[in-house]
Amino acid sequence: MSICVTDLVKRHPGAAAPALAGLCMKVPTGKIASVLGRSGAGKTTLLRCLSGLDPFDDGTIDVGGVTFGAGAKHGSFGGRIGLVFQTFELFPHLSVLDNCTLAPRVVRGEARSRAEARVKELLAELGIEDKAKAYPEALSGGQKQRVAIARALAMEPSVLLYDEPTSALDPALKHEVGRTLRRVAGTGVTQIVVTHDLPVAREASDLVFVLDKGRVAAFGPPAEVIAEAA
Amino acid sequence: MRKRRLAVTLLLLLPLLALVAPGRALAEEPATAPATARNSIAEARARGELRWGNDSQGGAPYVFQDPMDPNHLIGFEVDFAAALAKKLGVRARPVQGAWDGLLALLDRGDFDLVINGIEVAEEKKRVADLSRPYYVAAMRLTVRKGDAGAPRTLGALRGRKVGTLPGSLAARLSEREGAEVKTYDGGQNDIYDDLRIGRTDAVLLDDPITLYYGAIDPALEVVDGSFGEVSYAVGVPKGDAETLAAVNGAIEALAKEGTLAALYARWGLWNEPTERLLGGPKPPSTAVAEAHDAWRAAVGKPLPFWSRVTDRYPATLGLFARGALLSLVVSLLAMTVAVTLGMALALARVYGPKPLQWLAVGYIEIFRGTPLLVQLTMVYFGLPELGVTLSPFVAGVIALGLNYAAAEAENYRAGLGSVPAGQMDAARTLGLSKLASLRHVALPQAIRVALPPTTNDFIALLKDSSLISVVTLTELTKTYTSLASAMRDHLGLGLVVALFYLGLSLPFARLSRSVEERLGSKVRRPASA
Repeated sequence: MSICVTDLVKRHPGAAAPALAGLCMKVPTGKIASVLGRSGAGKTTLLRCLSGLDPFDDGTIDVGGVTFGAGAKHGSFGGRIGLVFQTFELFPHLSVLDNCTLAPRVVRGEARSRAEARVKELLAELGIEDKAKAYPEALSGGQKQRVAIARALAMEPSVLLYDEPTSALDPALKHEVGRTLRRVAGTGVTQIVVTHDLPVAREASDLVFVLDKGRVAAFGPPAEVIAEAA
Repeated sequence: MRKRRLAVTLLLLLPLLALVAPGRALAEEPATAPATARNSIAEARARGELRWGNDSQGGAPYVFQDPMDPNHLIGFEVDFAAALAKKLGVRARPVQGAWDGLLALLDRGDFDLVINGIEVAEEKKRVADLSRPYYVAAMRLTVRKGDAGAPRTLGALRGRKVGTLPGSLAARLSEREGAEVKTYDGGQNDIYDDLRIGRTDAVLLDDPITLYYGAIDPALEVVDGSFGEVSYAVGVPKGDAETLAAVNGAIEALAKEGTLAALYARWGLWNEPTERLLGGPKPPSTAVAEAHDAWRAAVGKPLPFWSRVTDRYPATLGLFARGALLSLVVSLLAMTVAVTLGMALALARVYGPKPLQWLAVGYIEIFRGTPLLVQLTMVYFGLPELGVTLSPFVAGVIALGLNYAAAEAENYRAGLGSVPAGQMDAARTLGLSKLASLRHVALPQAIRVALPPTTNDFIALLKDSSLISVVTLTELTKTYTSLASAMRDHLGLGLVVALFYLGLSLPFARLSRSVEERLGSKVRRPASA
């Protein structure tokens, strides 16, 4: 489903200028959007507001026709928006399978057997079905990332956010990220990728947004926008 | 699920409690009664049983464990209490308490009477009423044999080190003479041991103690003559006139019919001042001090270690086992309190709103920063003033639990602090509530970090549980100190009690290691492989 952000405002207490100053962006269903911008442009704030970790002060977020306004409580997007952390934040005390089934079981009350069957399919799609019983510490960076994606997808979100998906990976693995994004896009999930990595943005995304001072400074197909920026 | 596990744990503990309970009912532990409008003698008659307070650690010849069979209490005051109770038409039941606190325990309602060398003195009368005296003891000075510089008069005590019991007339006398007074809370034996090895220059104590501990040591010499007299009386609840009259009447009758004279003669304690006090018949001239002779035979000459191991120690094992069980059950229950409350405090401190955080910090600082003994004393002796009278067992569990909760809270706070903030963020972006995030994500990781210090704390608590002896519970350490005093054997029995403590703590240390390994293997599989 598509996501539409309208006039989003976020002020950090004590800061002179708002971190998000009326930001607007729209990403159609199943598309991959990259969000670029210098440090302090508002990328992290955008992610935290979109994922429900932080409240925002004004504007709306519309996910698949359901609109959330300011004052919406944390996590109130009801699992519609997932987030893959830069450091993955897998739960070290749980196996890969349990990492991915925890939320479906606890939040939705899904039966363990059903949740595990779904998650095993997801792991297979991402090519890590043999790691189901492993613990996070036994995984490589790329494997951890795919587990983090599977964990988010297990809640069947409409939108999946990524925070710097290539920064924690070996350079050799970076091209894998694009392939993974494409696989996920095939399931109809809309993806927003915050990144510094221009090659990945160019290769993997359908749309690029460049943030500056809490607003979208430029957007369009990667070929156009990145050429401009470069 | 966690709740169910707690319930199961408590259920498993119940049989243990049941094991301890009969032991408590049979012997030393007091039942608790409200401390208002006392009429001890009426209560005792209704019960059919006179609970008289004493400290068996004080030793011979007052109230002590028979060195030949430590499961029995003997002593001239055991005989006296039995005779007194019989006159009053009830059975006598000895109840254990720390000697220093006997009158406070009487005031609290843990005993009907106190019979344990309570001296007739103004300071005692402030706390309790005292009966007419039943015995007069001369003060005796004991020195090292062959010590040319030994003080042999009261005047010579000035500036010398004198050993005696705390709060006794002997202590006040020695202080008045300008002596450097050393008082002992442990057994009488220690007082004379210290004299023998030169830590003190003299011991000033009542005749009975001197006779049973000083005079039997060939390295010591009892100086001729009396250095004052002290009378022993029965402690009666303050203002309980009916009991006081009944006790006075019974003592008078026992004196007149010669029961007391015969009793003191049997213990070798008959003396001229007591004869003056009682005024009744003298003991028969054929009387022998058989109880005193038995004591000399039992402990006069220390047995070789292996003979003690084979002949004496087996009889103590039952007492040690009972003490160990009490220590273990109190510690387990106190730890349950500490872990539960500690977890709540840690969560309040880390995740709670500001006022709750302050409350948690205040609790932790107060309970961590004040001595456990003070807290236990306040819970047991202080709360009754507010109308809350707890049994010794409950008071012990609560005081230990509240104190250790502060330490546990800090362990769990450290554990929670070790969980990266991103973990909670990750849980919340998956839609988990704050509570569910704590339960499924933060706590399991925090516990792994907190487990080793928590196990350490449990072992420390097991040892600190020895403090509950001040509220009349005969746990493992108290069992040891009483037996050591009665059998005049600190070293050998010390090894026995050490083995019991190790037997309690080692399994927990082992359990914690295996749990740690199990938790550790989940997250560090490649490292450990």
